[in-house]
Amino acid sequence: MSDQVRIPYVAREKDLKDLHLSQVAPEDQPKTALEILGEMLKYKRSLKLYLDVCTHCGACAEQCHSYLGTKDPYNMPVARVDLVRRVYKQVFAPGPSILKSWDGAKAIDQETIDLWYKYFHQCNQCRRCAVFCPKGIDTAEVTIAMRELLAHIGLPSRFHAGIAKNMAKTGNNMGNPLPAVLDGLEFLEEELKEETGLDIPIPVDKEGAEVLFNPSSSDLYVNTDGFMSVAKIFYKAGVSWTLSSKITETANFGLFFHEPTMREHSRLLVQAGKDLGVKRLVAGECGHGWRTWRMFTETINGPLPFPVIHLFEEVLDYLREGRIQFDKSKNPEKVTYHDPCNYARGGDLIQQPREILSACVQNFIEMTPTAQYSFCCGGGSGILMDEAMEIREALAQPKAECVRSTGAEILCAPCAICKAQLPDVMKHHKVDVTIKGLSDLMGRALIL
Amino acid sequence: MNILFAWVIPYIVILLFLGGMILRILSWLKIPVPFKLTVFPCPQTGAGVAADFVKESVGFRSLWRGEKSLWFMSALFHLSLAFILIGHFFGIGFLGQQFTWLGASSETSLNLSVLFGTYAGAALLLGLLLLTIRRIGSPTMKFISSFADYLVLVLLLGIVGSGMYMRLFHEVTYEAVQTYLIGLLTFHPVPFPDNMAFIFHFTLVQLLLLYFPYSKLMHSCGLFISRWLIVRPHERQVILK
Repeated sequence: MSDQVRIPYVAREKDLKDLHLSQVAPEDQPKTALEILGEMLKYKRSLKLYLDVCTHCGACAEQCHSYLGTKDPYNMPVARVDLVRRVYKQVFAPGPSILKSWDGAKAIDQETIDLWYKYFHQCNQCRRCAVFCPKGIDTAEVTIAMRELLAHIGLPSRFHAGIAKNMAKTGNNMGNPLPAVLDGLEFLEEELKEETGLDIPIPVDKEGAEVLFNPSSSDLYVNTDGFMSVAKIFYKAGVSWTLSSKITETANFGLFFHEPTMREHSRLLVQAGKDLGVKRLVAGECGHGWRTWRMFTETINGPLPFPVIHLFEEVLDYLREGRIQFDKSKNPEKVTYHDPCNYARGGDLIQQPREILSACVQNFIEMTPTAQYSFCCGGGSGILMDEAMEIREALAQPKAECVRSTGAEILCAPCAICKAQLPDVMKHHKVDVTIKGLSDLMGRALIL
Repeated sequence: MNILFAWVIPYIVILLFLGGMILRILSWLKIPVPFKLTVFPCPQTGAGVAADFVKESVGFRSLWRGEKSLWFMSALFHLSLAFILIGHFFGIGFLGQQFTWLGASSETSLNLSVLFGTYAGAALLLGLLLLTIRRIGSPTMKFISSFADYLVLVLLLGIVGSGMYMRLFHEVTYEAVQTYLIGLLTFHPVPFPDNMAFIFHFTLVQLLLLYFPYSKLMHSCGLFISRWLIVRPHERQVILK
């Protein structure tokens, strides 16, 4: 398959350079891959355990939206991990080789690398399998490790490498240079003035502000209503806040395939907060970005000088203290809530968005399954490439059925990736629903 | 021959089994855990984690969340296996007299011991057969199964089958087994009880123990270490009311 086109597209050489990665000649790839796998097994307990303790019971198969949507047997979490397990058994597992061959051990070859590339880009790192696996095997961990390995043999996807490059150059994933960012913000301020008649500021680099707000950069250009809602809420609650000109991105794509990128992204934001002397850092609507801040930042960047909290926790505080009020009648539609994987399973945000929803929406209905059992939108872990549209549509099929059966008019999906994925795939599966962030709904209901 | 199989090999097997198992467990524990991998909602305390372990290892809760038929087969198999192992300890250790502690007469106690053993053995056999049928019965299960998965089932079927055969058709007395095992434990070995079914049963168990540290059966120990990764209580820098 190596001379065919891989889906998603592989990064070009110039994309790799910016990430300090380099291409490895195809004939050397298996050998280099083994070296990297060996290293990873020495510092990732999860990886070694997950390769050792699986009993091939198959409990994960019917729980994986990727398998349900594609019906490709390699997309069963157990079979996906077996692609690595067979190499692990061959080279790294203890014991006589006859026993290992009974366990499906197989030498690594170019075809193995092709399969890795293909199937570890059809896992959304949603972690639903970990909820249903009796051993708690979290396939996302294996996918993260294998994407990292692929990146180090010169095979990250072009899309991911491009985003990491944008981030390094401009401080946001969209790759917008600072003047363009500032222009856009000015425009949004004017919009706010026009809409509300009030002077609602969008401060940038305001030293000594209480809150450093870090949105997803897509919210500044695509889902602007949600971002303007946040400005309104801070204004109404009387909180002094600011954006940073150094970084306007909460979505940390490094988590998906490249640890150094993840670390650098986190470092940049923490540094921005220190420079501005803020009291806390509030993360905007982004699932995996939130998981990185909530779970990993302290580990990779050392003790933090201020807490990192989520926009929903912040808003919930205002709401409970009575600093802001919502008028439910502004959101009369039937609304259902999509739990972004990295909010529910990954980041402990299950009750908070629901409490906000029940305060600002008239007609809220739960989806089935929900909360930590919720299906992924199919775009998780940055599977948002245009060339992978067919795969994305298949991965989204289980979610589409869940949304359809609620009969909701609005699907609240407060995550930048979900917001990018869901409109296309819902249309493909003929589910008639409008996708909105939770901020959008809060903004509509906010009494100014 | 008798010296080798009845006296020498059992010691080697038990050493390889325990040593291999401990080495495997240590090989996991010595690797660092760089990131907090908690899957939410998660327990808030150490007691909560212990409760999770119990729910998972006794109640098979994760399986209950999914396919109920797999939950039934798995629970039936594992729980009756646990019952049988405990039964072996008490039945052979106390010659079936363990129920006299609860006030039963000596004869009743022995009858109860035999009765429970028979039913638990039948349940274990049923669980195993169901799991075997499940594994060979569907193309998806075939796709994810390797030779080792079938091998473990065959070994267990042989062990349980020979156990039931002894129970129902060719009894070996508790006393005979106890005498043999005590001989081994006190390093004064005596010959095997005169029963081919027993020798078959005992040999298969040894094969399974030998294979244990290199097989997926290590999930019995690894389960708790891998679940710890996703359920350990997560301390947060800030907890909002």
